[in-house]
Amino acid sequence: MSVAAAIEHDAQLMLRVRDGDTASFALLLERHRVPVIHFVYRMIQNQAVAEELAQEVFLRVYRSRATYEPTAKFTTWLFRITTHLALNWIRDQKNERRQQSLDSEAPEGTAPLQVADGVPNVEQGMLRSARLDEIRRAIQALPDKQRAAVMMHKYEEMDYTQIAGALGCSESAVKSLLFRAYESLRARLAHLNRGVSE
Amino acid sequence: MMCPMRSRDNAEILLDYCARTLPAETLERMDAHVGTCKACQGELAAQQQVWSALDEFDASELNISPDFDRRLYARIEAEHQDPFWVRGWRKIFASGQPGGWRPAFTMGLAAVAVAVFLMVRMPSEPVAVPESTVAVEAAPAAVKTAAVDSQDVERLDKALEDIEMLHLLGSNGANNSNAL
Ligand SMILES: [Zn+2]
Repeated sequence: MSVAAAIEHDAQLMLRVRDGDTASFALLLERHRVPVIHFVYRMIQNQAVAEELAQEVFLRVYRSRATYEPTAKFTTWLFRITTHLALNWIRDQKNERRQQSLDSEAPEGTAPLQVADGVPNVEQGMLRSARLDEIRRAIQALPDKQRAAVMMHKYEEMDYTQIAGALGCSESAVKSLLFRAYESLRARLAHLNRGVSE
Repeated sequence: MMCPMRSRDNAEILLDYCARTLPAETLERMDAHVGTCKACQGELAAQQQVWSALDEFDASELNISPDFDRRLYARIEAEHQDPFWVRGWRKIFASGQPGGWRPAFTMGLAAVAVAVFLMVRMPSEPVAVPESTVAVEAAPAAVKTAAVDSQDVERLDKALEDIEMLHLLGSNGANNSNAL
């Protein structure tokens, strides 16, 4: 199926949902369940919460069925809801953590990973896991909107217009978010590649 | 072609080049340019390193709960059981379409709804309870009322949160400067 046909297909399905066809909702869920959960998971790096928020996304899609009009691409609309919920959750968590840190003096941040000597396979596994951990932390360290933009650009393969639609900003703002995000990632991840080439 | 590294306007070409999303013609010209331009080669190598590092964050290893759909349909079903005013509220305002009048109108009505809700929920006069009957009989009713109130508050809270999001959907990129 071509990209245009897939977009058309989603809109058609949603219009059928609007007309009361629940089987079409099941098809939409089938098509977008995984991308939505993966996107939220990469944003917040917690599977249980990712699933919970994804549920809320589809619940809102269902609630909006009666008034749905295909004026924007379905995925743009879907990811606008998804991004909004994910960013709201992150904001609430930050507020909660801020409140907790006022209550306790516990230091923030994660202890550096210790990679011990050992059997080659175990060591490789640990190195891989340490590497992945670095990548996840680098993603996590990005400002929220930059992170959302990168996740949509890199993993969902959305173009600038779609990302702008999902984030509610201009295309040039999206480009700026992406440049800065990739620049930060380069700086944070450069040592990983030095390690490989040495 | 002009080196993308020399113009901020063209800089996204390198991102698109790395993502392999350039149109065929531009891709060919970029291939030829990158072959001779040291600045682009360095930039591209750095971007490709990030790109392949991100590939390692593979969410496909995630095992999505097998009861995900069942839980979702249960929640949808539960919403059908909501009181008529909550369903009506959602039906009127659950629009994801950007629209000019709807957000302001919605926010105005939300304020009115909160005011009405508070007026209905707050007793105008304290209920006189004879002191002798306060003991055991009153307790279950009080607990029940508190539970119903907290459910209503939760529903109103949920509906208001929906409105906040729909307001945002309606604003359709109005505040570009806030995006960064
Ligand atoms: Zn160049």
